[in-house]
Amino acid sequence: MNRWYLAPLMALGLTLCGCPTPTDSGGGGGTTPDGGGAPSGETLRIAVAGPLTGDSADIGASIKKAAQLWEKQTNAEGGIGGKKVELSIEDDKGLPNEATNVATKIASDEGIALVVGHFNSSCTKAARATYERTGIVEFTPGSTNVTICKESPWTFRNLYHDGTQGIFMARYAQKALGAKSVSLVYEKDEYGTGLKESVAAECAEIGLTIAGEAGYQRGRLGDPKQLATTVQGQKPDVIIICGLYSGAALLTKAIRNDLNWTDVKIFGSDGVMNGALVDTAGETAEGIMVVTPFFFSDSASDEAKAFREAFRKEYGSDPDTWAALTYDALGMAAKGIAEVGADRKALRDWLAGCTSKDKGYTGVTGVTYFDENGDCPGKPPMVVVVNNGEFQAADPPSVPVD
Amino acid sequence: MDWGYFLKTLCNALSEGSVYALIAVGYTMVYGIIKLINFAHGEVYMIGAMTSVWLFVGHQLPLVVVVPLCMLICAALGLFLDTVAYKPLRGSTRLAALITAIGMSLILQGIVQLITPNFHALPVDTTATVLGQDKVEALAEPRAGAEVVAKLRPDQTRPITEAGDGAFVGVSWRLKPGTDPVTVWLPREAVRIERGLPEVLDRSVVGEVEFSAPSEDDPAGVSVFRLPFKDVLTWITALAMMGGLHLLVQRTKIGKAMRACALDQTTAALMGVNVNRVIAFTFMVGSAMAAVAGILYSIKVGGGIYFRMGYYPGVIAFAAAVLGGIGHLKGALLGAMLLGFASSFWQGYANWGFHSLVPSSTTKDFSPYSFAFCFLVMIVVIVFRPYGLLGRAGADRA
Amino acid sequence: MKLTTLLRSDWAWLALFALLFVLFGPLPPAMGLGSVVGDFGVQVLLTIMIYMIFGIGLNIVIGYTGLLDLGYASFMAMGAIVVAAGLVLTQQPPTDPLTVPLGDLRLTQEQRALEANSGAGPIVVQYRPDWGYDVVGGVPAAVAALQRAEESGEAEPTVQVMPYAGLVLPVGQKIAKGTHPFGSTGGFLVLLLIAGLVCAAFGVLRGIPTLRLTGDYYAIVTLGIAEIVYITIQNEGWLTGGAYGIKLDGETIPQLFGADPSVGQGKIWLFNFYYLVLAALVLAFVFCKRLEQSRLGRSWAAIKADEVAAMASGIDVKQAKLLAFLASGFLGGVGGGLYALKLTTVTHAQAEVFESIIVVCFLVFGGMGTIRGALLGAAMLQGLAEFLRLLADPYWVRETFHLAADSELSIPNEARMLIYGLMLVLLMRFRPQGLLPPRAGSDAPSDAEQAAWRAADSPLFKVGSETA
Repeated sequence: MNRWYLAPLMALGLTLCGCPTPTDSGGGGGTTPDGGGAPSGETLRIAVAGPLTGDSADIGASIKKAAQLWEKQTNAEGGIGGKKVELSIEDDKGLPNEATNVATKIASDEGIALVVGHFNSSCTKAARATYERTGIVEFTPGSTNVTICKESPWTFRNLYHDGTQGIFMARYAQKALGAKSVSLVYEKDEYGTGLKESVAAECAEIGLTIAGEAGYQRGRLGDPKQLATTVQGQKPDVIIICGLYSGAALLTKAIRNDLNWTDVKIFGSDGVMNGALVDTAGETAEGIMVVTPFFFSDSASDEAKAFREAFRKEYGSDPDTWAALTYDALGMAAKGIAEVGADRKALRDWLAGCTSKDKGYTGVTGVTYFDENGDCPGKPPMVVVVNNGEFQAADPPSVPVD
Repeated sequence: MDWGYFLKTLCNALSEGSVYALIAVGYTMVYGIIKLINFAHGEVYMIGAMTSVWLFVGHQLPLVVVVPLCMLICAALGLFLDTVAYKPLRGSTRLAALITAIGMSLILQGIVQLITPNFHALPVDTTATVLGQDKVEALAEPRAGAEVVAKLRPDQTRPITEAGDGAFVGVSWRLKPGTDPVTVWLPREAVRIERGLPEVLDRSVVGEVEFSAPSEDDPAGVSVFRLPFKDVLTWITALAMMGGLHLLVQRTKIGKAMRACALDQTTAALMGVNVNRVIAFTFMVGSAMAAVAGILYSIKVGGGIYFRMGYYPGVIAFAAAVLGGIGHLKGALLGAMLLGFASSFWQGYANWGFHSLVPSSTTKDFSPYSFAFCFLVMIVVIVFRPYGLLGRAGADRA
Repeated sequence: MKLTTLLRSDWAWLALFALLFVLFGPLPPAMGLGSVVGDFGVQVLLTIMIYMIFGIGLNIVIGYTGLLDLGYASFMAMGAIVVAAGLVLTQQPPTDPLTVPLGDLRLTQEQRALEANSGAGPIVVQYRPDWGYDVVGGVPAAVAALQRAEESGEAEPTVQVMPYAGLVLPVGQKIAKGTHPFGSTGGFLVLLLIAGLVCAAFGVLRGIPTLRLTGDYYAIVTLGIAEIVYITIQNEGWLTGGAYGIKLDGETIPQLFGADPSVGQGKIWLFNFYYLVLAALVLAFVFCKRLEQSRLGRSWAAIKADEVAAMASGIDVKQAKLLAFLASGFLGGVGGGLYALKLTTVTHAQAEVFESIIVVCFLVFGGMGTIRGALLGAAMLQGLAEFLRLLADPYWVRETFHLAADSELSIPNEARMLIYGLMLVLLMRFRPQGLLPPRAGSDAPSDAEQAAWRAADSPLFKVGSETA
């Protein structure tokens, strides 16, 4: 009688279509015993997971660009060992519950050799259990929360963690910036909060007064000028921002422009390191100091320069830190696949075996190698300062931590 | 008591309230007539801000042109929303319309994200980008053939201090952070100039007023209060727009028709009012106001413009509209101001208050609860006055 | 029976979905525990089932009682937090001392200033994974250990410490391996019940001030409360883990029917969990179906039709509404508790307003006021969201639809929410009452049914004949 009841039936069909997983399409492949073969025909597959939508979508977009650039370049050069590379780029929205879904999808797809991701620390941690259970490497190019690598043998990263960064930031603020009291402004996510706690712990240790704290949430910042006013009321010498560039830029602008508060130093964590900081804050960004694992300087390596040129040519904009780290993570994965094949276990063992500078991978951001946890000790934090709209090495670029 | 701090917080509260008020007006007008919570309204605000960036930065149009253009674009968007999404649902349940509104909100966010997922800003400084050449001849003085002060790379972007006499433009440049900028003069054709917001916006209208704010460490401490012109501009614009809207609703024929539709659509239709046209007009006016709110926010904050920016202010503004008594223009203004005050003063004073009242809580940061406090204010008002501050019982049952 | 009658039967839909869940779910241990739809498919089905429970729960307030609740995510999140915090908080630390690197002890400036006394032990520590161990007892002994290490110049000094055994732990932070009272099936069910009761209590608490509110005022107040809950969860780290959330792992996830995921029985555990969720879904369904047909259910229908008239005809509106909030909250809590085990990471993100709105969308999509609508809406929209994830992968599209080897055909991930929104708009445009709406048009109560109602002398009939 009515045609409408076909709709739910069709929809039901659609739902069920949604259920089959890619496992059946992988040909039940698994890996060939000699370890050199690709699981599915002539393509090697690597997954990249990050926040393509949601509140961190801008960073996801940057990661995606770097990944696609890498894929294009690698295939243009003949792939890895003659095999074409194909990336599966997955979206976790920056939400832990989405990340577990993504992780199940990736892990159950046996054709995928390794995961580069996730970006948000909370997502990396939420997805970690699934990757560990299935036995696939999770190689994060951005999550700096301390315990990420320590708690799973399958998780690696190619930058320092917040323990290192937090201690470094507190020491640098005290020794190099001459701070007596600091205000901690932090983003209320796992990254910002974890780093803030790390900085606060170190401040207590070295006797640096914490004038006050102020948390905000990405996407719910409200009025940055009021945040700046609140921080001004705390009367710090140095403001330490544990968060991402988007909030930091607005806060800086409010501090320097609206409040005309010029004698306070602004010191940001590595999340603040982004060209968009300068684009948004303009001249008020001058003098902001930022911690970073690496930056594109005049004296940067040839790899870094080549990457920046290629990125500019492809997208017409400069790459940021995360783009570079993603690019490096993929490059390192490719090196591993070229050496031991696309077997998941073999790849883990190969990565875990990269324990020194010589065995490590030299890429855009420097040499990546791992300690026993899978953390990256080879890229100590350093400080850059915005000068004339560009990041330059600060004076001093670093302070001794121990 | 630090009066400078208090005044700053007060001004922030007024500015925040003004922006919420302009968004809330759209909610309240649409709700008043068709009883729809237009969840996509926050997205109209976002698109207003986005278009202002697109026109001001991308097309280098002056602000006086940008504002009306944005309002037009957003009004068209409002008309589109009504025609495509809501009009076909006039006869069906309000929940269906609500879900459609949520769907439209997702669609608008999705489209903007596909176009640009990044953060945008209205620049404060006028900047110049040196084009093409590796090395540009730069002069220390205009017209004089003095020595080259600096070598500029093609990708360098510098603030401009003054324009030259046509042939040269002065580009100021800091050699080191913290030092005074030096000015070099470059041939006009060698640079691309991108205009920033007028400098007057950041100038303080009251100068720098010093208040004594003694503290334990610093008995002679002062706190400096300044009132940037952009804050005053935000208040004036919001007030003027609200006043204009009030006149429109109370004094004009279409305003009368709007009021008639809000009271009883069927009767209004019988009296010869084209109800659909009135509703479409309401959407357009509300959207244009949201566009103004978006631009004011962009000017005030100067950044943070991205595809998710509309969601939360939208929710707060809706709370403000309900708080004031939904369907009332004055109520929207009152509710928005109340929430602006709640949010700003909580941010500014919560920690101070809690830490002095409860000494053991000094390590806890209470400021993130500012929006929770906003909602608490709203809930308390609604619980004790179920139809809002200015609303009357039965007003939403028309 | 005619197909249309079947389509209008909640039981038929439940049977259909249960059959599909069994067919596509994990196979019993005798058949190897695999699944036709693979691991990812099983996870998707689990999510769908849990969202069906949410849908059924929310339907009590929205569908039966006719109040638009935009804050259901609070229940979903609180249930999850109660279960997760219950599992983590009660985890017993080991009674044996631990040996930890001395450098991991974090002492504050004041603690360091204390006089060293190696006899003051034991050193009691609390593990803070983000920077080491906080010393909560035996500080002088810790200072002494530090001094000793400095003097001896040992390369990597270690120290024996006792884990802090108090109940007040920073939630979400694993202290040590151990057992906990909720680690068994029975214990977990008790915890699930507690979660349900906590949420039911919260539902009633939230309901009391909002009793007078109707329509959109009720909607915005629930939204406001949900937002307050969200911000509280985010900021009260001592209870909810704050920004970190609470993480469950092998040690804290309870054994279910004898399967322990931490000792390699993950597949059996998943099988057991899957059927536990399915059982919970069926129970929730039966519970609601019984409620719907009870006197209380008819009171709700009367309130939905016209609150004033319902009151006039002798229905205790307050009580009926509070009972609706209670039942709805209970189901939300139980569903949330199950969701906690599925997700293993419970964060404030689950209390987002958008989560509430999604469940409302399920209801409206499937057909307002019916359980079958809640089932179908959850299955379709949640299925769609995951299906779009697959469609975003050109490899999957190519292999599934047998496209050419160089095909890059896919729907970009960034467009997923856009398509989701488009589905909502299109459905509302062409079928505003939802796919399976409650009785309407030709499906109005038959004369016989009306006669039966009249005979039953229910309060509903007296006002129900003119539901405006």
